[in-house]
Amino acid sequence: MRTKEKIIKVPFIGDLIYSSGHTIVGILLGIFTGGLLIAISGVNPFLAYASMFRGAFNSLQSFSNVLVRSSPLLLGGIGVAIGIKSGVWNTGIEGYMYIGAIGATIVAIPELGLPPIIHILLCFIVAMLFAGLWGAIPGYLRAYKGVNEVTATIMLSYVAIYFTNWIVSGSPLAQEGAYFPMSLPFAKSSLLSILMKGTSLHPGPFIGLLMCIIFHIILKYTPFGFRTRMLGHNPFAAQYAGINSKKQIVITMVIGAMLGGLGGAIEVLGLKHRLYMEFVTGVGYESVAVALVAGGEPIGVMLSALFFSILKVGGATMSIETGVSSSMASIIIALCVLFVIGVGVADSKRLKKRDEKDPGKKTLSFKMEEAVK
Amino acid sequence: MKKIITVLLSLAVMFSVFAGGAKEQVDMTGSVAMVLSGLKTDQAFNQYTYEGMLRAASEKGIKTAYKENVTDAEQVEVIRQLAQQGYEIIIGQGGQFGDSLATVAKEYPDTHFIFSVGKDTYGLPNMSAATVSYSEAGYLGGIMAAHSTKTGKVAMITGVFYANQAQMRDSFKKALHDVNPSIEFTAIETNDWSDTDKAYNATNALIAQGYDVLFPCLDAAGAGVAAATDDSKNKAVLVGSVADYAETYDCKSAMGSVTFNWEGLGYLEATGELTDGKSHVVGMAGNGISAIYNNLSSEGVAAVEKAKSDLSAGKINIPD
Amino acid sequence: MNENSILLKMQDISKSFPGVLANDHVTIECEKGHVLGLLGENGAGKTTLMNILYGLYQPDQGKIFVDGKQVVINSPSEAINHGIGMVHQHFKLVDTLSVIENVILGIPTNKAVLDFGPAKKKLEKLCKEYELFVDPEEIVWRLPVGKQQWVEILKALYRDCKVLVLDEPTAVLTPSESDQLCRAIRKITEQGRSVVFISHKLREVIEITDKVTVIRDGKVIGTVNTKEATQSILAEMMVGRPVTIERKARPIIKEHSAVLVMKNVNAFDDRGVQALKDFNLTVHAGEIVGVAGVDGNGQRELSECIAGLRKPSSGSITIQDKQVTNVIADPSFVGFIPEDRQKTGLVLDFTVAENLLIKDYKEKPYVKNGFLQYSEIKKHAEHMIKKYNIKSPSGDIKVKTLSGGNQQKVVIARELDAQPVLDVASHPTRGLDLGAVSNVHDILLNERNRGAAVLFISAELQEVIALSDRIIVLYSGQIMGELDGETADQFTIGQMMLGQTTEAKK
Repeated sequence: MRTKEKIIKVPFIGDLIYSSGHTIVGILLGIFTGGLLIAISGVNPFLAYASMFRGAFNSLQSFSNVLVRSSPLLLGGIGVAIGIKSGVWNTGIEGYMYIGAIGATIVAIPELGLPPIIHILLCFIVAMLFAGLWGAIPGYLRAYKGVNEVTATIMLSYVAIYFTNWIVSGSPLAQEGAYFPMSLPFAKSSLLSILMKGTSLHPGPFIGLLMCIIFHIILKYTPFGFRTRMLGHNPFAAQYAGINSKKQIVITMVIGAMLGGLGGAIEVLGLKHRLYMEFVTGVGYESVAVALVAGGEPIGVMLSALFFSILKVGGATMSIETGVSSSMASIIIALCVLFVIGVGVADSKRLKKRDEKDPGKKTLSFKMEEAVK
Repeated sequence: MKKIITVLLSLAVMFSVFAGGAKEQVDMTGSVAMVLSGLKTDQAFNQYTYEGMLRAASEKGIKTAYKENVTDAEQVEVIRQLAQQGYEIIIGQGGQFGDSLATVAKEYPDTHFIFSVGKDTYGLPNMSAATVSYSEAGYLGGIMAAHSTKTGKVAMITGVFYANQAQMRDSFKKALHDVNPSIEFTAIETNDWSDTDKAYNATNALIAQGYDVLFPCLDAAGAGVAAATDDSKNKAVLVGSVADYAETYDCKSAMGSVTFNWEGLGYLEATGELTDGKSHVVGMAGNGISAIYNNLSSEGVAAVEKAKSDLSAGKINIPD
Repeated sequence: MNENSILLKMQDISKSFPGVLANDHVTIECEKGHVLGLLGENGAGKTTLMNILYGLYQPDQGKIFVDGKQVVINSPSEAINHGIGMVHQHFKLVDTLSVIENVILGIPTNKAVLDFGPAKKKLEKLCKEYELFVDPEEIVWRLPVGKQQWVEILKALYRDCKVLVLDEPTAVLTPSESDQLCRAIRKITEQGRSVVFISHKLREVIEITDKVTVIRDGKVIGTVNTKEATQSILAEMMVGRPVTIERKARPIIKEHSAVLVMKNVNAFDDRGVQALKDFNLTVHAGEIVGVAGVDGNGQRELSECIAGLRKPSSGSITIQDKQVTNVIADPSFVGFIPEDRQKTGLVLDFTVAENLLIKDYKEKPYVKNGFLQYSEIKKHAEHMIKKYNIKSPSGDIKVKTLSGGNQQKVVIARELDAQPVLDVASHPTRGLDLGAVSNVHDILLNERNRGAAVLFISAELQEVIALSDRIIVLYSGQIMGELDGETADQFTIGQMMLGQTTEAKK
């Protein structure tokens, strides 16, 4: 009953605390189970986790690694989250990142004689344009032809990956005589500057965090956001209220794609300074998990992207220092995602059961259940 | 909520205690760290080079570290971390590590970096490069193939022609023509180093066109080429490279293979003998590659042996 | 009364939920071979009582007797073992399985391979016996809702139940199906089985039952022999005050210009079946046109075409001479109360305040400089909550936490507050209790008196007659006949609803 009163008095904060309660319990369970696996593999889990913690927080430098890693997850995560909010699963972030990076590569390689800021902005714009057009394909298919967007986006991601492979090995943009498929190096004026000496910290993560805040505001405080949320919660009501749901679906998928494309462009402009074959390696799919753990909330994306990055950066250190398998970080991430979803579903089932027995307690929303659907 | 915060705080305290306690002074003299693009249990390049480092470590009693499955996004971060921890030699195992090694090499001038399976040292005094000799391997393979073909048509199959594979192809072709200038040669890319089906189908297509000697330079996809030649009812035979095809893929139609001694390369890199800021190509002389004979005729074997000594004597002009 | 003839007795049952006393010392008795009606408004505690009987809830106190023996029921399977069968309001069938599979589902068997043969024979025998015909091989989702109910009933009979509980069984049935159900219920009781019939429809209860127990606010108000009861007595017991759905007095409206004009409209439903056939209708300002008819005869498509949600395949629809082409989302022009408020009319996860503005969210003053003005939105909500007497502590709570009647008030407030020229109200009282129904009727009548054109669609004949100035009867997408509201009688309309024109009858 306590929760009920809380919700009625302060609905927004109450809900947030409640749903983040799921998330925290899920994450703790994931970390605990991960610890068991580490113990089974013959390493003291406390030492392993300590090393993971150190890897992420030991110094400003190590935390800068966390930030750098979070950049594509933030942008990809928010891209997926907007889709979730409007009721579509925009799972093609991986592909958008490649296509965006290709777009950026095309304008980043030649010396255009532009001042850096203009050159970088040009790269961003072309990247978002490329990715946006790419995202319009599954968006159109979903909205007007009823093609399942998960299938369409994932299939297109493969197309994007193979297209990138050709760009970096067979096209005029490829580096001749390289020992690995890569493009020509980018012009200096197109590279993102390093913000901290002795690290790879580029402005990407801050752009990502800013995007999360911007989209939080857009979703909550603009008519566009109102439409998006309405469509996500109840497409029938949205149509009834006069919303062109097809157009809205295409728009949100294109926006998600543009954010993904920007994420890909930032990776190559800020970190790799060339386009490499398979430079994304699953980050696009991790973005879906980021958005899922965040329950589709932009502010949640900030936290979950940083959390994933901490696990990844710390996981590398853990692997180096304690010899735990390198896949352990990914396993822990996967466990956390599963437990967060599982706890959400289990709890909403429990609530539903309780509501059936005690209708008086019927108050809370079942966020995760919706997200899973 | 309060409970959760308390639990989190106590966990944080525990971590920091461990974190503080784990700091100990270790002798880093001669220490080596290796970054791998794949798993250290891949029964191929990553595993063997890693095992080479372990052998060097047990012989010399030095400290080692490794990080497997390093993704593109974390290359710089991992290499930098290893440099920070004071490893004296850091080996990047794979062509994709070049740029990242160079980036960190500029930041840590007192650490030695080795770009493995590459030749570019980026003009840095503390960066060296090491690879096995793809040219010599290609040449020896070419001699084997030339002495195995009946139809006079020989094909090479690889994933993608990067710099190394291209060199291998050129010297392979040269060897073929040194034996018999009328041998027809083609080289194809499958665009996938580990797709067995693709390799199998590509090989069948080549056999159907009359190519009777196949020279694969692949990773796991090599099994596809082996299976296709075995299934060809003696229409085609195989000359392996990189791995020992008769042993690794149980290939009955293998005439012989030119194997890469990845373990030896890893060993050599870890011993610290290659940290002179130069590019090293380890051929037969350095035990980087070796020829293995299976069904090759005795005259073929003799020809390969002759080519070996000619190569060592510098009588054959191939780029290294 | 002979104690031995009591087949089911629930004695002194109490069940409380936090803040609610759902059942307060409730006692009901059902004789062998009788039909007991359980009558009460929504939320009176009927369903709670039956869920206790079926083992879904445990009572706080009280006893249950079946055939004179006291039983404790902890789960539905125990209830079934005690001979209790239940047909829930929302069916519990597995859509993707066949009828026969659904029927034998859950019956323990010690065979490794299911043998449908004997089961099918037994089911077919039951079908014949009760005249509830269904094809055992048909997949359940392909069956119409009425047939699905047969399956539920047959499922209970297959398990040889002594007491069959039917929760609002006629809500989904056509009149002829209702008759069929009545016959089946008679046959069931002839064999010495008993039926508990839950409903809030007075007419049916009087037709079918032997005795009626009326429940209000969790308490038994009384039990009467049906023969001695009349609709008005039962209604008064149910609501606690005299209620009548009688025709309400109304002023004559002078202005009579045509507002909605539909000409030769043809439209298809979601499955591609023609739902409106050459449909012509004019609704004038200041009149309520009632649309009667059995559900599924084109009512839904009619309302959706007018609101622009469905494109007619041919014909024209104009409202105040404006052609309807797109979705009309302007409540100051057309107010549309859709038939399914939860699915279409509301966003359940939005707050009351947001739901009040799902059509006007981009208008001033709710948007300024491109941003939503939550203070204005909240002010608007508070105003509407007061004006329409919506029982909600504030505008900030989610609309799904409100009761059905208050949810409907939110929809009505949003749709009608801007004084539209045309009101389309599709089943606006469905699922509401009598108090709320009367409230909705008053609102619609006020709209008419204000000068709005009102199209009122309902499956309840009584309220159509009570409210309409003019009544059209819809049958398979066409107008079967048109009657004056003042002189219309249920019998004639009932005939038309079944597709018989008055001319044909004459």
